[in-house]
Amino acid sequence: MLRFTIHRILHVIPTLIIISVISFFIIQLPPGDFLTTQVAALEAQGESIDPAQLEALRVRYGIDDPFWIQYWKWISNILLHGDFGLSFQFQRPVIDLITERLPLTILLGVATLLFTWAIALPAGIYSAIKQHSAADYTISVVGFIALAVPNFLAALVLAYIGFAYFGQSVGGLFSPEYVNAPWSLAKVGDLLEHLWIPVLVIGLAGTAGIIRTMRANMLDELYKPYVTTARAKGLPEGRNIRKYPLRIALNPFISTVGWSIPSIFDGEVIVATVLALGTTGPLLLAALKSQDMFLAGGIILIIAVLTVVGTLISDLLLAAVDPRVRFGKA
Amino acid sequence: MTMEHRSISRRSLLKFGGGGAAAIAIFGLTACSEDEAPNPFDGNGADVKESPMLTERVDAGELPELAERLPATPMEVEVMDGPAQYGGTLNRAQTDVGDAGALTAFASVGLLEWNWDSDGYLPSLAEEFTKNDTNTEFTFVLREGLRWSDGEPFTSADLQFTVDDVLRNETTIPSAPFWFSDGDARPTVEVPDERTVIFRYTQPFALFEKYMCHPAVSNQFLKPKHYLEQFHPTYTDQAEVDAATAAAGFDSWDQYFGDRDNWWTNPERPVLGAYQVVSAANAQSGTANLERNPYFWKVDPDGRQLPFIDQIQVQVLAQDALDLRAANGDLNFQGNYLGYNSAQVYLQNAEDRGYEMLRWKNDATLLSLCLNLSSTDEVLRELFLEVDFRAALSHAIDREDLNATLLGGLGDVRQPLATENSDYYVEGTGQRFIEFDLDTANSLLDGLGLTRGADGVRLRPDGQPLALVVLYVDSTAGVPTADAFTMVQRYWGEIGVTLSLRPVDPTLYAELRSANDFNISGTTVPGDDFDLEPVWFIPTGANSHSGPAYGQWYASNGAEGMEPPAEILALMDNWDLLRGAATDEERLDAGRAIVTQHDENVYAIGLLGLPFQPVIVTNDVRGVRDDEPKLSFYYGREGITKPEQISFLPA
Repeated sequence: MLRFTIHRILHVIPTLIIISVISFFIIQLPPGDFLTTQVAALEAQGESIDPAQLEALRVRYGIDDPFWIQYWKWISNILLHGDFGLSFQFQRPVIDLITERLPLTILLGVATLLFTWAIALPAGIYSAIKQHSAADYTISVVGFIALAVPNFLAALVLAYIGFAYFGQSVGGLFSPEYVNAPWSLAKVGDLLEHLWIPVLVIGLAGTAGIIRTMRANMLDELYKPYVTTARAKGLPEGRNIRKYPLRIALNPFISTVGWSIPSIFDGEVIVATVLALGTTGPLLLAALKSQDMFLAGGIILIIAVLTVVGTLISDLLLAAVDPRVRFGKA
Repeated sequence: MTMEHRSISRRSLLKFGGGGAAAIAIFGLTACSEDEAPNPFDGNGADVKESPMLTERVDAGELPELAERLPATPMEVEVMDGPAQYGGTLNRAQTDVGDAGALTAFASVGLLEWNWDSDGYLPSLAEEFTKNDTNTEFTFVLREGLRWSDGEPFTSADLQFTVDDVLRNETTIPSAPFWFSDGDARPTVEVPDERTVIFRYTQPFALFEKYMCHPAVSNQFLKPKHYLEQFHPTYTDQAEVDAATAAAGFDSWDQYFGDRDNWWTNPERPVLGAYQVVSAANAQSGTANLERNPYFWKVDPDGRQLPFIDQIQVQVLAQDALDLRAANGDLNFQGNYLGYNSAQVYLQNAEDRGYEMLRWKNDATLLSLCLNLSSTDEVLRELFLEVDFRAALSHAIDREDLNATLLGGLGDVRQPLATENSDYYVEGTGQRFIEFDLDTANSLLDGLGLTRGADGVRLRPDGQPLALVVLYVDSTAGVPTADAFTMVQRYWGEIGVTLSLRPVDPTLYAELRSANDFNISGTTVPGDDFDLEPVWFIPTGANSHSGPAYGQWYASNGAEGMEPPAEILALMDNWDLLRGAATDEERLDAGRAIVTQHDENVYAIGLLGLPFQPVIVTNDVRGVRDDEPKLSFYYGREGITKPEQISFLPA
């Protein structure tokens, strides 16, 4: 196990290096740079920048440096000083921007994950037990519909319903009077009032997959001889299922829990943007649109690193549970 | 982290504002926790000279009396609907976190400001303004006893600091901005005493007063020396500045200086405007809170301190959410960021949700086609430079059809030139080549020797089919661009000209233009205030819509780009005359010459303009202009209604 762990961790290092280069490269791919975006934005507002001033800024920000120099400056600052650079767009340190949005992002992510599991796992179990029943088909159909409807559309529709029928203020996680208020019970209540739309939208889309996996796993287990034996020995059906097949069927979810880490962090970019939530998702989108290199790079890097770390955790968990993994691979 | 930041700013606010801030907090709490909001106008009649929230702070001993906060001669502002009451929070929204437009609109300040009709200046922070007759020396006398929002005096020393240590400093501003250059150098400032400021240019600068009224520019002349000098190495030890810079996560001192100087994101920076940011939208909440400046120096005719409204809240939303909020009556007074295409939704909900949709004028902008007169394709360039060719293209467009199809016949049909509302308007311009006339178009093209091939497509002189590409940013906020250009595609097909559409991202659009890599730029062209932004009319830089290579040539004094032909040189000469005119008459003559030349040559082919700009005002807000003024960046957008005099109706 120790050998496997060390091996696995060593694999992570080159992966991380490659990921950091690729994320920096991707940000640089589109034509233009932050400054041309600025010019475009200013023009849209009816202003313009003097070309000479633009050139001077270009030199100042090192935008015309070759790719490797820019990359090296960026990554060495992160590794040596934990400095993710300055966001051009916000003129603030990237790390500050990210950390102040993190608590809500994580809250949204965790709430969504719990919601998804709370809906999908029971639904999957139920549809496995009642295979080929009307309930099974209903659950499947609903799950697939939720999967098929684009998230942003669902968010818009719910936002519109909120507006048209309940006169609700659309957008954001707080009502106007609470946004900058200090934390209080009332503010928490207000948060919960707004949180359900994104949680519902993001959560529902993820349920179909989990329902199907859970259903398939349960079906595998339900008819195995040990279950039949337990049933034959007179164990009540409910207890039987809870005690034996369910535990085994849950295994894949436990071993992939690490993969949820990045999705918790990215705060569902599109939905959060449509609903103007104060999470990192809209920040990432805005950064990409305006080619705010350091900000976009910082967020992408963190998400990528978390994915790698999450996979590592999953792998280790899996190896701990299933000896075949560590003997076969390492 | 967030919470920490927030509680710190709260605490410092409490320290600064004491009981007043506590009173707001209590007011906020009662208003939120109980269903009925207290009447914020209690005991707040026309005899009250200042906002009750300030009176409380005076009573608590945190603020001096009103008389000590106002200058000797406060600026008097006419109130639209007579005496008003203090209080309330105005809700607004925007889609862009970094856009300080709310401050520019509601808290703009300058030595001068636009008059009510936006066609001339009013002395503002300056009590008197004089200039010499060669437009090289501009003298201001400041009002006596002006104060920053933290109570410190505002004097000519602040202006000297701004000019010498910021605007003329090559680290803070590497290249002189358009409004602060004097040939190859930058203007200088002299301050003979505490209240007098003299700006000196060596070359005449005829647009100086206009720029001093331009809210986005005038504000940049006003920097609080007493606050900012701690971040400037000229006044504070370099090592100390560097340490603070590094601690704040910036790379160089000027970045940190710029950050501290930003009135939209830094609540600590003292201001002179009607409102000050108390929490920035920059944070995770995406909501900015603005609060009245207790030292604001304008009063109504009864001597009551302005503004009437205590607070403004600005939320950053996606466009769809913003539209829904507007249609829900959640935004009290807003024009900027509202799209014409949502006007129907606003109108439908107006009565139910308690607001009114006003129809203001937009910026006199027209969706237009700008041919690239400096095209790298020599054959095309020669064609584009033929007035007959441009006239033919213009005649081939059925604008009535466009208008009827896209805007229900309500749109504005003319060429993109200064309108009657502009000083530069020339009688009878803007109507040339506008009628739909295929015969004329065809005969003009025939006259240029552009024969039709077997398939009916005209051939260029070099035998290639005449195929053009229009480059544009797809947008539905104004006249829907893709729809309009698709129709033009059909019209031009009739005269044997093939048009392809190329919608691109705004960044790529700017990039391709400055690379001089396009045939036609499809863009909205503002007509009236082209002197404050020449990019559409005179190629002065590589971002020009009608000749980037000529623009580059102009900007680099001939070192780069392409030398323009005589007619473009004539435009540039007139532009130089306009900028450097010694008198208004010279300036207007030069401007009108530019308009006339554009009119005769139709360099930009106009399609259609929006009939109006929707502006939403909830029923409880009074004092907003209903005479359909212009929502224009140059006039501070909503600021054109002098928002310090708007107020909430008593509840």
